[in-house]
Amino acid sequence: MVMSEHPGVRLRPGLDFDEVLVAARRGDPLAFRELYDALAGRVCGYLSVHGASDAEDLTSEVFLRAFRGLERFEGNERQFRSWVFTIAHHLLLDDRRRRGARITTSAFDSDAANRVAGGDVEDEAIEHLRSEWVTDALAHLTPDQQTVVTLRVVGDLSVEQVAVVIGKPAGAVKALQRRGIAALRRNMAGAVGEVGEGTVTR
Amino acid sequence: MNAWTERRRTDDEIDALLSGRGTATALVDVAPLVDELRASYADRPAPAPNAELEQVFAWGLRTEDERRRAPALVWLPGRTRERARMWTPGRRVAVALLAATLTLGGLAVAGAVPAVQDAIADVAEVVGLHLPRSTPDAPTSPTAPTTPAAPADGLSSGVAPLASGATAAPGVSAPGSSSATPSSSGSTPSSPPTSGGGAAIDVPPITVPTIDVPPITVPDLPIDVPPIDLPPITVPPITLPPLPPIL
Repeated sequence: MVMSEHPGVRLRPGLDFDEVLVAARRGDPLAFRELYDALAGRVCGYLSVHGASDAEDLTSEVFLRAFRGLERFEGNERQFRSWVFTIAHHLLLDDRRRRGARITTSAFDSDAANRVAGGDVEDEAIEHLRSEWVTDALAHLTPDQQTVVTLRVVGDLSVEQVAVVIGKPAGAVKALQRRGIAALRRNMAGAVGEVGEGTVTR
Repeated sequence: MNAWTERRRTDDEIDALLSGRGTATALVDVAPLVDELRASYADRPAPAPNAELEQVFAWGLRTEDERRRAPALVWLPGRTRERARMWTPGRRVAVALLAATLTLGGLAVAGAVPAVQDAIADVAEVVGLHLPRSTPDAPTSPTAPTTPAAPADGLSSGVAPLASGATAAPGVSAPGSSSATPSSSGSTPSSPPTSGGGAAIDVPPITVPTIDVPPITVPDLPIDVPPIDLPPITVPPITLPPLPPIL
């Protein structure tokens, strides 16, 4: 695996991560804003896909914690990304513990509705169905498999970065994603089979 | 191909799929789902920050001590959520009523606003409180006229415009004229006491003399500031004596 293919923090062109990090450590508000704009969308997506109670507010909490702990952080761009997602993952676990909930379609529904608010009704309906399709499929995975797959796809993290976030060895992450993809394929094949059988019986 | 090689190839294919670098033939069936997951949740703009984070973007981080001392941060949602729960609508109304009663009651006790004072006294009387009125025998109705000749042009009772014969300077309004009792040609007011029998106050008319202020002209002052040449300063090197050894 080529780790460098996974991005670190996507800052605006012309900005150097190390300089932004130094400025943020000094307490420069503009540097905080740059780091937030670069990563908050994916962090919010990760929290949303796991049905966080208030994904946007939780995203702000993730970055508040990150900014307050910047002095303790040491590392490069990719490690910063992993670190932010580690905070997000821990806050998500806390949120789940509080609510005693796993991925639910209702969380997706409200989120999708917010995202497409103001759009065409037909587009909204299609978007809604797509989100439901994704969440229904992910609901067939174990929590660990869900975490690994979503961190890899939504968080855009490498296997090694995911291993850091969830605190497991890279080999375990690979195994989890292998089993997760296999479960998704089985589920999709089953769904197609059900449709096929239905067609035959009709 | 042995099992280890097969597993490694599968891992590489899955890795390519999950990181969006391509889809192997074996994973074509699951690729739309992964693409949809990415499109729905990864490619979204940064959400609006909450108020606490907005403060950080505006002012930077503050230490815990600074946050405790800074009054602005008291109103952050994270901190005020519990406070907001405490401030139910009923409590807000009760506090607002209490504040209004205290403020207006204080004014009334001070005799600053006779009309309001009488009105509050009326209201207070309903609940059994006896507050002082503007005059000892003031009527119970706060809208009763205080002088028989009180004008009905929108001015409050007991307040009349400046008499036509007042000697106010042209273009200059007479200060305090609104509080002066009406008079004719500057004579002592002779209006009868209020209908409630309150004591009449004689306020002499205020005359404001015309003041001629000559225009102020500022002459042009040719000021020449010669250039200042400062001699170079040389600081001799400071040599410190060696410190005695620490015992």
